[in-house]
Amino acid sequence: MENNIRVQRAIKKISQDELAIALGMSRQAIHAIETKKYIPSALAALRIAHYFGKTMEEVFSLEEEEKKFAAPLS
Amino acid sequence: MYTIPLLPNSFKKPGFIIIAFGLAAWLLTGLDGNNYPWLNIRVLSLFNKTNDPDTHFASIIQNNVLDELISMALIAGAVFVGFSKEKNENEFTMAIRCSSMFWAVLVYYTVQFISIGLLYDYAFFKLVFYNLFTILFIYITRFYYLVYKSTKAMHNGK
Repeated sequence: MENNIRVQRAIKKISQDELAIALGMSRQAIHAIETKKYIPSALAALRIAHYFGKTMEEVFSLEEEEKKFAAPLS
Repeated sequence: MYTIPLLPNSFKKPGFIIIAFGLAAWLLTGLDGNNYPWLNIRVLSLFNKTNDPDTHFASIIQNNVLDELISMALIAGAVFVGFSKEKNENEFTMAIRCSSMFWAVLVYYTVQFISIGLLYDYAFFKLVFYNLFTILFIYITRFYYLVYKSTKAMHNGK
């Protein structure tokens, strides 16, 4: 799963540490999410998006490979 | 966020101390209670295979409790260390815990499976005893290794 948390952080001028504290997570967790080593739960993803004042789709998106398995119902 | 109940973080340090004492006692005594006759005490035995059917269940027997004390110390210490919260417990640490527990259980049953087919009598009994600690040992080792790895990756910016 792609995400642009790093970009959102840069816009808001906050560090990983500050974001982690604001969301009650650890800096390791934020780093692992940013580097796509860990996919957050839906709740954590919603909270991250909410923190930046964005929708979840504006922060997180599926990679091309993942879209193959997520074709919308016709 | 999904979490499982864990002990408070303050249990971690006593856990490490108990493990250290348990390991030191194991190395010093070799679990041989013969040199410690004062540890021969009367204990409650829930099940004991004897010729007397009256003493099979819930009877009082004489036993040297050295190995029991050391084993219980190691298990209690490892549970304190492995199942106490990190300073910042969150869903990421929970995911690491799950992954570590998966590998620990897998290794435990692999060892058990192989030993059922290849070890017999006393050797099998011995392995079952040592394998008691496999799950907790691998779980703790892998959990702290992954925490260390993620911290290192974070500092390296990888």
